[in-house]
Order: sequence, then C-alpha cells, then structure tokens
Amino acid sequence: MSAFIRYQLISFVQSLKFIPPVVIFCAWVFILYAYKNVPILSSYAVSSLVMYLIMTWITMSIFTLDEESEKHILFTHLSRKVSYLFGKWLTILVIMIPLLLFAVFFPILIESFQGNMSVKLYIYTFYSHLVFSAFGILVGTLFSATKLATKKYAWLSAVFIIVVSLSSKAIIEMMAFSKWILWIFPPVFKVTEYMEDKSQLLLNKPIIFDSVFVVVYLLIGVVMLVPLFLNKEG
Amino acid sequence: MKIFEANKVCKKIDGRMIIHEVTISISQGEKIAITGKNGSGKSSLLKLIGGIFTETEGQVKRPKVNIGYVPEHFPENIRFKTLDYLMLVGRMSSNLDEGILKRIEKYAELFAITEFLTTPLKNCSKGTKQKAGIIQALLNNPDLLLLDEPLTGLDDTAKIELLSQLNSLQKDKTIIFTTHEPLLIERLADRVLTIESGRIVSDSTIVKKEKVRIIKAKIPNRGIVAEIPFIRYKFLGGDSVEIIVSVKESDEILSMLLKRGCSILELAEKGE
Repeated sequence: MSAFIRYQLISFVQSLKFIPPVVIFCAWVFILYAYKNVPILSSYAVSSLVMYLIMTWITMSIFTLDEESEKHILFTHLSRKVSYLFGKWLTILVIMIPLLLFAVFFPILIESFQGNMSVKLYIYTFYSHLVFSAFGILVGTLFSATKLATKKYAWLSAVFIIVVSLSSKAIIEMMAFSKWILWIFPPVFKVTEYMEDKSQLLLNKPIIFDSVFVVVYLLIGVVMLVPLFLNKEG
Repeated sequence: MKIFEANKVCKKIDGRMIIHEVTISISQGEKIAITGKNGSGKSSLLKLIGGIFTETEGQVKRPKVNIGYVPEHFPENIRFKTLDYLMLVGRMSSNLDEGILKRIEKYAELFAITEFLTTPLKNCSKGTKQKAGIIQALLNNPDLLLLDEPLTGLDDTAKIELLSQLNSLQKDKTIIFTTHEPLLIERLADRVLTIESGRIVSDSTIVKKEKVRIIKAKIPNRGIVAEIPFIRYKFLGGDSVEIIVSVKESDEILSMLLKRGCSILELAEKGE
C-alpha cells in the first residue's frame, strides 16, 4: 500500500492540481489571523470550515487523477478494487496532515489568540478539523468515486452539498420541516455550535452525544461509500 | 485448476448490454485468443475474466491469482519516468526491492527500452509506452496474463520479442489476449474465442499437427457445447453444431454428447 500512496502523492504533486486548493487554504488562514487577539474557538471553527471545502476539492482532484486504463492497471497490482479506494483515502489523509497542523499551530506560533490554549481546547480543535476534513473527504468521494461522478454536474453538486450543510441551521429556522431532509447532509453544526463561545468549551452531555452522532455519521458514510465505489467500478 | 468459470454471464455498461449470456470455462495454462470485430465486446470480456469488470448477471468463479493486465492503449498522462513508474507498480505487488530493479533491467534490455528508463513516459513513443505496459504486467509475476491488443504500436522486432517472451513463460501461466493479428493467434494461441455483439459465437481449440474428428450433431440447447472441454465448435444454424475434437478424446466427447441428449448426425476423420 505504501507504494500506491507514494505513486498517488507523486502523481498529484506533478499534476500541479494541489496548487489552487493549498494556496487558497494558506491564504485563507493568513487572512484569518491577520489581526491579533482573535477568539480561539470561533477562529478554529472558521479554519475547520475551510478544511471542509478544501478537502472536498483535494479529494475530487485525487480521485480524478488516474486515467481509466491506468486505474485498471492499478487494480491488478493491488489485487482488490477496494484497496484502491482505501489507498486513495490514505493518500488524502497524508495530504491533510500538514494542512491540519498548519491550521492549528500557525495562530499559536504567531500568538494571534486572546487567551491561552488548554488541553481541552487542543482536543476539540483537532477533533473539529479532523471531522470537517472527513466531511470533505466523504462529499468529495461521493461525487468523484461513485456513479455520481459520471454526472455532468458532479463538482457543482458537491458545492451544493457543502453550501446546504453550512446553511442548514438557517434553513431549519426558516422551514422547520426541512430538518427531516437535512439530517442526511454532513452535520456541521453539531461540531461548530460548541465553538461559538469565544474561548470556553464546556464538556457536557450534549457535546458528547453530538460527537458520538458525528462519528457514527462518518462511519456510516464510509461503509456506504465502499459499495457505491465498487458499483461504479463494476 | 480452473482459472475462470462463467455461467450465463451478462455485463451491462451505462445501460447497454456489452456481454450476453457468456458460458465459458478457462483452465490454468491455456493460451486463448479472443477475436471479433471492433466493438464486439472483446476487451470487456477480457476485463470480465480478470475481474476488472464484474458481472451484472450470471455466476462467475474466479480464484485468487496474480493478474497482469496490458491495456490496448497505455495511459497517456502518466507523470513518471519509465523506471520510477515500473519501480512503483512493481512494489505494489511485491516487497522485494532488489529483485524488482533487476527484473526491470532484464525486461528493459529484452524489449530494448533501456535507454528510455530515465525518460518521462509522457515523452516516450507509443511503442515504448506499450513495452512499458507489458513490462509492468510481467512484473506482477502473473498466473493470468491479460493482453488487450498487445501488438498495437510495436515494431516488428518488438513483436517477435514479445512473442518469444510469452512463449517462454512457464506452461502453467494462463495467457488471454484480444487480437486481430493472425501472427499472434498462430504463434501463441491454443484456443480461439470469436465474439460477436457480446456473444461467443465460436470456441475452438487449436489441436496442432494431430488427427481430428469432426462431429456434426443435433443439440437440445447451445449451452451444452460450452460445458464440454477440449473441443472447438461452430454452430451450423438451428440446433446443429460442428465439433472438432482430437482423435484421442473423440470417443469420450461422443459419449458426453449422447448422455446430454444430442443426436450424432455425421462423424468424419481429418488430418489438421
């Protein structure tokens, strides 16, 4: 698997497709921390949301990297088609790590925050960035590695999912019945609503329940994407 | 050992039926040519045999074996130098680095592409890319080698080299290839499948320099013939079939046909 990940990373770097998402991500983080004394949690909430967008973009780029015949050759070398999917996900995680570390530690290094970081804040910060990256990977995979990828508006549909999930709270406030539909979209507010308070994080039952919900949502998403991918590659 | 068995297998792609009710059995060590017109479903059948495509309907038995696959057209946009590409794909299926490099160098020399090992694949000629495609498949130590029009883009020397390489592979290696070239069939194949609109219309075994018997029989259904090993056959229209079988096996085949409710119409002996 390490050879496959290396293959994908080199191919991604040499394709130069990494430049737009990475540059936009870095620029966004620089701008976010252009001012000093910014609140910790809400700043991290913003960088997590940016991770969501950027990881969707990177995932879709990674899954559209190989030509059809190249993919078929890789299938035979990996023996199982599902190893191809897992290998792609591992490649995306490798790309995600430096972005995540940059988003978390850049403001700390340049001392942008008002207040100090605590262990609890570190844990929730890593959790939020990881979860939003995972949301991005799920959405990106859905629209680039399943039969939806062959549709004309795959990229537009991915953006639509992101926009709806980010505005789901406002949509539900306007149309209460929409909550019965919107639960299928990534539950971003189950993470960010605890980051609205400037620098305090309360560990209570709702945060634990919501975190469990989010993790279960991600696991179900991963489990559902495997047959969808195999169905496309059948 | 059976390397692939299919029973009434169909394959649909984008709502279009590409393979229709294919019943076929492939044993280890067979060298099979798949022929047919463009768009008849040759490549799809090849990919179905290798598990690159999965069946939409029907049953398939495919034991876990190492597969080497050479596409008709080597990918155009691979972003590696030839050696880097071969090293990486070689490592995906093997953990022994030293062995891989030596084997790449050996194959590169055999196929005369040593001077292109440090050239980016994008800048290589079609023939060099095709050779790299063949080498990557051989690096997987394949028990089953699938070649989609393998002679496309190769010069005459490379064609002969590929044929001698394929012939020098151990007898137990199974090779299946699609082709239009009589040269490849003549030199390599011991069985020829002809496909038309996704259906196998002829499955013939090439019995070289051996006396054969031609059996003309009336059959209750076409599926019966596909179940009988070591024969080549041609449907004569209606419910009749012409079966060519080696003298050695003819008695057994006749008894199999009779047991399955077929009527023997004619039996003749002929030198191949």
